Amino acid sequence: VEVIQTLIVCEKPDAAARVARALDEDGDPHRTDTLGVSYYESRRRQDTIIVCSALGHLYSVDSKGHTVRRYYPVWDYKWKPRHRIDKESARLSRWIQTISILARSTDRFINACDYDVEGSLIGYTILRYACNGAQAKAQRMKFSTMTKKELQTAYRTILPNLDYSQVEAGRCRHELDWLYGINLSRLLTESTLKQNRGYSTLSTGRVQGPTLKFVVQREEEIQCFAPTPFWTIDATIQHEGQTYPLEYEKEKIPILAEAIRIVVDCKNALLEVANTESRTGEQPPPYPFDLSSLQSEAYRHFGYTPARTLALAERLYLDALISYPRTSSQRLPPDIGYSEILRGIASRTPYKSLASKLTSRPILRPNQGPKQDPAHPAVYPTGESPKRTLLQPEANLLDLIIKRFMATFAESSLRETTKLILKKDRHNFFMRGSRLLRDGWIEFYRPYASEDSTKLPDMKVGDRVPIQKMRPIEKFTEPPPRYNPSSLLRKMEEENIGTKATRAEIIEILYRRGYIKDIRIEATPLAVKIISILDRYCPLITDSAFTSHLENQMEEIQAEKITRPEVLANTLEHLRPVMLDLISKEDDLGAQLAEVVVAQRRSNLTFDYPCPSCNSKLMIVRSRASGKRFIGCTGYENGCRFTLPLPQFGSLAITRKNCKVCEFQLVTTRSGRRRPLTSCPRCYSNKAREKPKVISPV
Amino acid sequence: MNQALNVWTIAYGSLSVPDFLQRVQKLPGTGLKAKEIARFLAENPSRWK
Repeated sequence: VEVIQTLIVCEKPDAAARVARALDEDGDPHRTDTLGVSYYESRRRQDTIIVCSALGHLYSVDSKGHTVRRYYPVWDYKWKPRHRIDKESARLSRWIQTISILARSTDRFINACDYDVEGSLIGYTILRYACNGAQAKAQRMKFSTMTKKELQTAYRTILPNLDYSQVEAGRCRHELDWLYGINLSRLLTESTLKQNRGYSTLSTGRVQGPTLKFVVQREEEIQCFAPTPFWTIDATIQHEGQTYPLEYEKEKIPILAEAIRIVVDCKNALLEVANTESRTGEQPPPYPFDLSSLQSEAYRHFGYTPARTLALAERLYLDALISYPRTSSQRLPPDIGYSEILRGIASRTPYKSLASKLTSRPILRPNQGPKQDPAHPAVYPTGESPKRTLLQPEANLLDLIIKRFMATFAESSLRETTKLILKKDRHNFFMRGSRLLRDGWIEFYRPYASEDSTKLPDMKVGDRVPIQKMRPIEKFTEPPPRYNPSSLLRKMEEENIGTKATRAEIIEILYRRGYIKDIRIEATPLAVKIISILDRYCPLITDSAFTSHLENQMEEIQAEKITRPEVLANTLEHLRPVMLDLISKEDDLGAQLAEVVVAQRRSNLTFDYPCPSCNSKLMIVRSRASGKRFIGCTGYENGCRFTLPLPQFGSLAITRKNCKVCEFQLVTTRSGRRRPLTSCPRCYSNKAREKPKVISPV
Repeated sequence: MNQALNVWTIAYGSLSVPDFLQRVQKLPGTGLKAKEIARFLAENPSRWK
């Protein structure tokens, strides 16, 4: 009997371990470590299945000819092992070496990376470059959860070829992003460096540019905002010993005289109940989670950033607790086995009673949403119990996903809203109340569903009640709210820029580059300058419509309506003249950028808290003699010798929080992979005040 | 600033420009650039167009 050796390539080590366990006849594959890289050997009938893993992308795009990394513009590129491009990825060479050795004795190749554009590309590049052109004969495993049953089914019903449309779309995205990113980022960084005012990494890209522009535009709206006045009527009535607030018919009164007239007309008057309106409305169950709605809910309830939610969800996916999270679908197809999942959920004590209510139903039908994804269904729990103790954030996210899944099968909730209309001559006042008549899906989605209810006084038409309090309140219009990571991600999705897999990472990059700061996102002067320069010299780069057009083209590659070389050729036609024009202006550009970079570097090192000795500004200073860093006073030249010590290792960041004990500004130290340490440099306390102290300018 | 002044004048009935500039500077919702312009115009009334 001929023994066939199969090589399965997975995306991550944990995924490889799970695939190997699922495919091994005894569920106990043999693990081997070569060059510090683990792979698994599973036995299945006569065949040997070797399961190895990548560590995300092992290959990436780089310039073809130029070895000098500062050269630009670059138009020729090729795919290279990542360890040759990036020093920090040196360990990846061992992965490529191991896979290459395994491929030599392999008859059959399978790509079992995540079934999406990135996963297809990761598998394709490994098979093509590390397995000596094995992509041509490779097969594809398609699965949405890492459960044993689904992995075995995926192996049995394997796709005969790689999913080339996804691979081509992925290649195009990487190549386009590289062409944009490398040329524009090198231009920004190098033109600033040529001004001899220090190095600072500046970057922009096809998605980064328009995303940053959203933040900068909002920042400008806020900075240029001049409030205008309006008035509301603050009125209450008292009925049977209880006070109830009243709503005047006009929410905003734009003229003071009008507000005063209303108060004069109605003060101490008797209001008569003119009418009552009652309405009963059904609230349908929520849709199943796609990635962005999951990120949005996790931010709302737990405050997790989109990137953190994605990382947690991936961890749960690798533990086979939920389905593949990078999905834009809001639909749950019946073949996932609703009853079986619910029975699995019911086996866990906290969900037993709720899940049992659903399993006892003869028909289970989820409330399907409008968004679809051909590759994966919406995010759903697998029904398996955790095999390890989950960290609290993981447990929180899993609870949210389980409850959302159950809620989608429940019936609508029923709410009664009542409006009492009270009259005094020509003035109308309203009182609104609401109560839940039927819990429906809310029962399954507690505590994540809103259950507000407001009680109204027991009054009938014709009843009269005196006004207890009546006064005009002067208010002012507010500037538009700042974006937070979740609302910025939603904006990116609305404008169709980036992908579900990359959006969260783009926002993290903007933070890392110092373009944005704080949870309520504020654009820094550097971001404002970069956007103003790009808008002036190459508006196409920051135009979200253009980026969205490219996204659509990549979707068309996936749908096989257009080819990758066509899209690349069209894009280069736009990018080439823009780059050449920018290069001709790089002196001017660099001078403008260097100015802001230096100012930002200085402001990052300056404390808002004034020097306790002389009230001058305090800064992080490095001693020229010892090379050590400390907090020093800018009033040094005037004789102030105030200093405070600082940690000598790791990167430092001055926070906006103040110490609870001594009110000095706290400093965060990040060192290696250790948890960031936030503490007070003056009294070493790590407790922050509830609200940052407002310090008047020195 | 011009647009805001029009709204403020209608809202309060009558309002002098210096009074408007002074009040708008003190509001927490006023943006930094708007505050800067208000301060400049308060110090240089002749530049108000």
